Amino acid sequence: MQIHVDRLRKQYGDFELAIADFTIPAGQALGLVGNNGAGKTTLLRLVLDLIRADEGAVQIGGHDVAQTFDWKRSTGSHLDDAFLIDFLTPDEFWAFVGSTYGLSEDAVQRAVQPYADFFTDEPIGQTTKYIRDLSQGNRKKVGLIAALLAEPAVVVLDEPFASLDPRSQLWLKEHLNEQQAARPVTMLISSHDLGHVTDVSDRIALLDGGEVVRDVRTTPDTLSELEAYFARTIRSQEEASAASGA
Amino acid sequence: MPFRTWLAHRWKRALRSVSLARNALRSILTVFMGLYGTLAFLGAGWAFPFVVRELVPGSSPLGLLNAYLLIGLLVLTALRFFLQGASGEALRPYLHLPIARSRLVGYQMVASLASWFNILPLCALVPVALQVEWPGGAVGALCWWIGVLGALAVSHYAALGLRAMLGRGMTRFLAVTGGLGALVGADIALGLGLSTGASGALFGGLAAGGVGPLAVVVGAVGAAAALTVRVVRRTLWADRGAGAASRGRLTGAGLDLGDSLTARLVALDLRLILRNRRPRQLMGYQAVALPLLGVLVAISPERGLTVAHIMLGLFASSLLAIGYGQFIFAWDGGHFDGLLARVAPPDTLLRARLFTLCGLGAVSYLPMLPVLAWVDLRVLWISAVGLIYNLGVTVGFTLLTSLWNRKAFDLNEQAFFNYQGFSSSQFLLVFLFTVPPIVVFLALPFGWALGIVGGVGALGIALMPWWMRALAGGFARRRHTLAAGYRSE
Repeated sequence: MQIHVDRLRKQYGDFELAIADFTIPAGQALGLVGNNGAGKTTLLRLVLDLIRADEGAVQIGGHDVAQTFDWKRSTGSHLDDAFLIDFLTPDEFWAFVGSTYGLSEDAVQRAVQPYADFFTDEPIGQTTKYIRDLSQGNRKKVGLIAALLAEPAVVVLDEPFASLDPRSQLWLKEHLNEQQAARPVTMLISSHDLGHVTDVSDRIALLDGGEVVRDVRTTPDTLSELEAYFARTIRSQEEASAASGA
Repeated sequence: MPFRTWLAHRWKRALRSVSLARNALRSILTVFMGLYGTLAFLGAGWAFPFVVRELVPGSSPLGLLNAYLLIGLLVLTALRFFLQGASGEALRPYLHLPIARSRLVGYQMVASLASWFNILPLCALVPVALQVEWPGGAVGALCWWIGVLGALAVSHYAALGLRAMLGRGMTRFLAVTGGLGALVGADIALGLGLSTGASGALFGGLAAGGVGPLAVVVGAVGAAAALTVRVVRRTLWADRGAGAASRGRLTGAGLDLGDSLTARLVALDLRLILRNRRPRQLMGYQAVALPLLGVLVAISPERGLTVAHIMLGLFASSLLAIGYGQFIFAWDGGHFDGLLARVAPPDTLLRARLFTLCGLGAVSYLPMLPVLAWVDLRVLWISAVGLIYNLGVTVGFTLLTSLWNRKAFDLNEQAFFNYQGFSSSQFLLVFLFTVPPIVVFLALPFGWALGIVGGVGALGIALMPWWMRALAGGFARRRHTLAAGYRSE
């Protein structure tokens, strides 16, 4: 299932996200990187129809996300804590999310078993703590499992590696790669962790000032190129502030 | 499979249900509510003769009871249709086994009689029967009891049969019950006394030991049972996608509670109320406020119909629904993005909230019945039409106001003196649909007021499919605005 962005524009005060034409083919993993305020989360929210675009449209599997709802059954997502229902236990939450995909409780229980090594706070199937009582890292894991448990054709994740311990980051990275190898899952993953995001992505798009300024296939050199790019932006900012100080 | 094995399976099913085992609090609440309901109905039955002597001096408690039993059974049948479990659900695991389906249906027809909808009315009737004088002596009492048990069975089978036949097709059912309700309301309002006369003749005849009324009831039981068995058997073969009808769908009107997502969203609401401080406290205060208002009204020296009497009757089925409903979606503010990204179509949220509000109305109303009857029988009447008005009007307007809730609630703040999220527009909107029925009761004769308020409510219920579609459209248009508000954008 491909994600297609067509002449998308969203204005927030002085900030404008403007993406002319952008496609993530079915089965491709796209990593979205950029500084704070570059428009990554805005783009993800537009993709998930959480905000209304001023112009243009996003299509998932050919469905305009603002006009139809069929795409939701094929899309798993986790952006932030607003995706969690914090007065439920993790098991209850996964069962609820599973039901939104038409999965029975038994099917959900089977679907979450592979994540027993990832969510180690309490035994899956016997969780008793409410999500609000979990650590930030465990809350993130609950959301990630919810996004992935129905094996959706499209996965949209915002900062999936943030707040996770190193072991869990590596586990997640392997799991995402395994998922992609096993079936044609389209992924849109935003992250500040350049190393991890390049490891799980076939392609990297760099957002800056609301525009896609770089869109490249991932190669062994991508990580160093990205690091060089962001280093240059630091230097250019330092030079700009030095010039304004002088 | 013998009948005792069937009963043993039913018992084990109830005892070992996953939800019962996993949720001790809910189990305790269920037991408590069962005990409370039993005691409340026993108390209401015990108090009934005293209340009648106090309010209608010189009239016979048994005569008054007989006059309204038939109407009560009609209301009970309507309640069963919405609230009682369906018959097919229990049969489904056995259908593939080499057991005659007619036998299974027969077992279920008998076993399903052990329902709260049969037990609670009996809890109220037994104390009454022990205190009244029987015109037909012991034979009359025996005939009356056989007749009452038979009438309860007819109500039970009629509800099961209608459920199997209509698959909870709300529109048709509401049209029929609304029509019947309007006829009975007009009969009472105009003082014709046809319904009370028929009821009095039937049950009064039984109490006098009449064979004719007994034959009517026995015939009705046989006919209802036979028809229901036939209809239920037919639905077992019907291809409705994993037994939609038997799982209790509210189809027609697009009100589909059988959809597991809708049911889960309703369950989510209940968990939200039980597990978070602010909604729990708000519901708790309001649940206490209602009986307290009842006591205050009952002990006041004013005997006429005051604003307090009317408010008690009208709010008995709406206070919790308004209290929770006016902040619908604001309660979900903290996880609204997640709901919006996952729940397809998003108006399922609205449909689930409708069921939550109707459920809250029923939850607040049923335990209040004994209190209302104790306060004044007229209040009981107001509450009955109030229930119809609240289901048809209040719930819809409450959902409408929720489309303007743009401030997420902190669920764990305390509710007392907490005005976060309150706005004057909400306050005014609530007034818009709560004040008119009060004015109607103050301005018009009692019977007319009952008819008008009940009629408006029935019209609202009949139009529910239409206004739910309109609200769903409104929700679809405003979903981004709501989500932005909850993100404080």
